[in-house]
Amino acid sequence: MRYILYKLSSFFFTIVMVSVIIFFVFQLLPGNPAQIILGMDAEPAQVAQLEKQLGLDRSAVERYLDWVAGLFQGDLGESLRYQLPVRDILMDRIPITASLAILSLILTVCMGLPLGILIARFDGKWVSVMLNIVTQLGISIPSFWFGFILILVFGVILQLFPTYGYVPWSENFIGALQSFFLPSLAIAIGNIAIVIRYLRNTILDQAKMDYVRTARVKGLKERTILYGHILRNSLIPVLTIMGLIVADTLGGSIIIENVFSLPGLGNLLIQSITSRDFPLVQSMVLYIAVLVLLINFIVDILYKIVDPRIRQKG
Amino acid sequence: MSTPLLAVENMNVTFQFADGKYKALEDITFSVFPDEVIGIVGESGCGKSLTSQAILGILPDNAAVKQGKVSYKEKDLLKYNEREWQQVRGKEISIIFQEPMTALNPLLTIGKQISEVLKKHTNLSKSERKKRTIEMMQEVGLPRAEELYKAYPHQLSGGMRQRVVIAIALIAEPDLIIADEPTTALDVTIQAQVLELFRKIKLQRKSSMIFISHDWGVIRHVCDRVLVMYAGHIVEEGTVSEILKHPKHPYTKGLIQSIPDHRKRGMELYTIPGKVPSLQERKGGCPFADRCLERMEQCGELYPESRLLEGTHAVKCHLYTKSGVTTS
Repeated sequence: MRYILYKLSSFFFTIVMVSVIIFFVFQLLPGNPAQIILGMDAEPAQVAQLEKQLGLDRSAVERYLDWVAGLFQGDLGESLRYQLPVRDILMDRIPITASLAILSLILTVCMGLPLGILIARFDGKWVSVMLNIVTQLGISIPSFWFGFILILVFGVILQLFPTYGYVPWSENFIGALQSFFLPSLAIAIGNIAIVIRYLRNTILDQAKMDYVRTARVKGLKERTILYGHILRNSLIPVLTIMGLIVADTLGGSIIIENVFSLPGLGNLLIQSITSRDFPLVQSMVLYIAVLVLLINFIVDILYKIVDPRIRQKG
Repeated sequence: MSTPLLAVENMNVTFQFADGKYKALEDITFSVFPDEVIGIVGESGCGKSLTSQAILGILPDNAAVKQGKVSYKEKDLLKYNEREWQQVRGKEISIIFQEPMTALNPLLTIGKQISEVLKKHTNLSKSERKKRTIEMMQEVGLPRAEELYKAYPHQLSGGMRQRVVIAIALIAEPDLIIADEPTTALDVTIQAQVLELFRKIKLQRKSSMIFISHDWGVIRHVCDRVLVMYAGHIVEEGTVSEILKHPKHPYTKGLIQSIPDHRKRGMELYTIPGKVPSLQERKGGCPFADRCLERMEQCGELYPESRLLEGTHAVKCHLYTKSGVTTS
């Protein structure tokens, strides 16, 4: 319990630091949003007028405090470009990116873990050579290429899945699942390859440990040794990898969203940076930072559930 | 004598390396009788641990028994498949390893790791298993057994962990217990306590033991008979007193001479010159010839036959094959 409190307080401290850094770094960026909105030929008076209207004439500290106060009320400010509350814009986009992330996570876990275990069980010279080739390909081929191939095979030739856009979950569950399946799979393939490789290597390493020998001389079956002893020990490093993968996908996959024409966060981030839409960019960077911290927090808790040695230190 | 519990006959174990096959154990023959404690001594790399691994069918992947017979209760273990082995391990023959710090799974409770053996080999209910496990923990001298049942290995000291490993080895009441240098990794004071525990086990249980050690003090403390191993061969065997009082093989003599003793205080400790040849360096003839102080002509070429001297005392050395110092 003390451990969780400690973690929570450091979690909030980090968020505050991150928000300060994000806000002030954006102040240092060249480019005046009022100028960008009005165009290069605008009169200086007009620009000053708009600056005042957008609140850009006040001091940075004042604006930071304003922003933070707004955050506490759920008000993320207003987008300079869209003239809409940032919150509404994000709320439109997050479900799409989250659907992709969650679905690809499910695919990664459901395919990566069993395949990793299977390949470790049937380890041999040929199996490991083949595995090396296949997973190396899976890791090194970029996800957009998988995206194109999936569109070609399942969308164009077999016509099983839509090739672009999406259906909201509330409208049609099956349709939504169909529309998110291919992009999620494209994201997941590389991650699955990483998980398989990682899990297999850890299982084989763990199998050489002394405690496995102890389990064997108890007369336990190989299955019991694998699932009861080795697997749990192997999950610790895999958890770390999974945390990184989740944080990465929830931040939005810029390329896959473009390939499948999905209006997700990745898309939005690029657009808002090019248009110097500070309130929007700030909120998105803050969102990603919070996400990474949150996932690290969850991974920490999971470590403690799996590993009693970490549990005790708290 | 009664029929032996375990009889190893002419067992050879070979390692397969990239550059060829190497014999690691040659012509290993010995018996363990019910209620008897056998010691195996020798320097590191003599094949003591390998012998015990061969008996339990847990040799490394690149090693195999090439010849010979291992009978346990008159059944040939080497013909067993993996499933039959699993019925033997833990239930009939169990083993205690040297390294208590790593022998336990860090993520499972002590209770689970001990009672797992009962789950595999008995039909006891969950609560009966727990009760038996706690009794066993008390028997091997673990304090606050109820509490420790739920503890994890990292919360225990080395000595306590070794007691847990011993409890694992004893709980299914095997007839043969192999202890592979069970005290080597422990502090001296803890060593004495664990040895005391082994003596207690020996007195209380009707099980036989194979006690592997390079420490004569330990051997003298717990063993009835002793096998001296050198470079994959058993070079001498006999009762503990026969060997300690009248060592015959020059290697055994060297080993015994190098025991530290209060009477030798202030004197330089005796050491056998040279070291155990590695697998690749071994050649024909007596394996000890190169380090032997009493080397004769035939030692380099001819492997000495085993010769029974008196009672149970046997030796493989040319000093005793022709000239016949003591024959009975």
